Amino acid sequence: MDSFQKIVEPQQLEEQLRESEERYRVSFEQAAVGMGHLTLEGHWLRANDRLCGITGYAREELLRLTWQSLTYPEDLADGIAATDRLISGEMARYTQDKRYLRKDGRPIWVSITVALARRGDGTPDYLITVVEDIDARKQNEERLLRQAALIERAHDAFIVRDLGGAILSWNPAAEALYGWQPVEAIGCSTHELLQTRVLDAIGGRVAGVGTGADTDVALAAHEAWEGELEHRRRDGTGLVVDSRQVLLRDEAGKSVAVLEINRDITANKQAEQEREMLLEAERSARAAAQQALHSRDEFLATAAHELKTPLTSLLGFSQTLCMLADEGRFDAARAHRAVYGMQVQTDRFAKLVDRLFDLSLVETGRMRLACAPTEVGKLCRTVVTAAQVSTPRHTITLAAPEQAWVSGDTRRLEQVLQHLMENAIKFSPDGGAIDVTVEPPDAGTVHVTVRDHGLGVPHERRQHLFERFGQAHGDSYRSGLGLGLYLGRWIVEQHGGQLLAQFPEDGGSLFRVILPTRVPGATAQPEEGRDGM
Amino acid sequence: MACSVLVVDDDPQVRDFIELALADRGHTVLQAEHGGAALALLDSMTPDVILLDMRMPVVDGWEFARRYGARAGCKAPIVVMTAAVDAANRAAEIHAPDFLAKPFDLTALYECVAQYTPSA
Repeated sequence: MDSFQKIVEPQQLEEQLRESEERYRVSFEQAAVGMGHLTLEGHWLRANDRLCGITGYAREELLRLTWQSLTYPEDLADGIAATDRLISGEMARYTQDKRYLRKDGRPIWVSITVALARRGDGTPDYLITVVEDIDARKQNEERLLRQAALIERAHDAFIVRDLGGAILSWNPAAEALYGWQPVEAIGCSTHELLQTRVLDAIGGRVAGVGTGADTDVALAAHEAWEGELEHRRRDGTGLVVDSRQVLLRDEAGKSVAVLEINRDITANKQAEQEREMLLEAERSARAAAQQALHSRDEFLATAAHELKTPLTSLLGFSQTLCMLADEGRFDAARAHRAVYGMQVQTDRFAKLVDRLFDLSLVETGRMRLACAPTEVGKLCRTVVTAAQVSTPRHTITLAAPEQAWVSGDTRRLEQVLQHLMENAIKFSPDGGAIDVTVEPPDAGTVHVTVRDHGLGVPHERRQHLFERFGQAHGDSYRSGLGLGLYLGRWIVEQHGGQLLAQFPEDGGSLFRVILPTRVPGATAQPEEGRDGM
Repeated sequence: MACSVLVVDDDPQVRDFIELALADRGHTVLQAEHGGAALALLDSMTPDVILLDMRMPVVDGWEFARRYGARAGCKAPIVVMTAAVDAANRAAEIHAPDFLAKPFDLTALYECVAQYTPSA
């Protein structure tokens, strides 16, 4: 049994050895990583399928090569140095990332681990190398590095913040844009640091419609957010940025951070606003021009209407006179009546024409004042007397001190007072008192007031009362040309005075002419320069 | 042959010329300086025709026509006298059968009044 045992044991041993070698061969051949054996000089002795796949060579081709010839030239020196140290026993194994040159000439990144196999006596026998293809990983890393370099050089601010809003990354453009250095910014809340406000995306006006927190809500819901933000720089100045924000996820898909890319569009915004302001100015200028045209058309219609009214009785009276004469029934009483009527209407017509002429003088800058010492009380007395004759229904009173002198154009001032008187009569159709006062409330001025107790002026028309073609009452009311107060104010202002309208609470209107006084005896000096002379 | 005419106009010379011209032809002319005065007169009489100005103080032509139209009983026809460009429109606005565009001819006035003169 012993001898049998002795015979069987080597057989079993051999069998076991064969099985072990087979397992080793299979695992060598089938390994998911590249494996190979090399001579100490670098010739390939064995190579598995994966290694052939990585290098692109068929096995018999590979076995004719050395690892040195397979290595990318730049990486060769490192490989040789490490192998020398391995063979000399300095290291048991080494690992290196390096590039092989594939058969097709393309470099491929690999990670190699090299160990030394020794003989029974401990002398170095051959090299064992395990090769892992890390080309995809390397390329990814390179892309990331390139991206990082781009972000560093970008003109746009790249800011990464965590989901709590704390800044994780802050590129040089962000520093340039906002004035905060990375060490200051990182860790701060973006929304607080930059005082983020979301702007109205449609109008783009600088009126906050949301806060930075609103963008977080939108990001959580939609993954990304785009819009315009108002931010504040370190120095307190504001800016408008076009902001693009996107959620960053980890490999497991969990959102971890927000990337915010901001571009300064303050200049664009300002240009946009300036454009809008220019457009708005143009629009309002056009509207004003149209309004002016409309006013002029209305004025022409009113002027035609006003001129036709005295023409009606002028024509009527003259035709009646002709008829009476033709038919031999002409008598002194009827002739007087007709001629008187014609005279009144001719005066009225002349006054309308005068006013139109005055308007053209004012509009073309040709109205001149002929100033001389003028006693305002006397002027008022003339106007009041004439007015009282024309209206039996009104009681016109005058309260004037003995003398109130101004330097003025008597004819023009009379025209102003006449017009105020006509208005007072016209707008108190039920008659009543009209009170005229002349008073010097101080040494420097004379005030003339014309107060009626009539219709007054509706609130909505008061604002435009002194404007050219302004009307105190609506279309249904005969209100004249709408020039009297416009010309009146112009004339009074040319005298260095003021024409004001007041509306007492108990009704009616009060017009106040304020003129600077003139000391009697002083040289008459026209108000030069005021009328462009 | 004679016609009673109510002239409503705030211009005294217009009223006076119409009265002078119509009285010469034997017509009776009453005057009112605004719509309110005219309505007061119309309480006690009905003329054959009313010559009505539109733009007047106190009660204007539109308001007069509205109030007069709302009255019960027989009513005088209204002829609108207006210096407005669209005289015909003014008449249509208050449903007046006729108009005289200011300034109008004496002949036009006589012809107009003749239409409303009751035949003998």
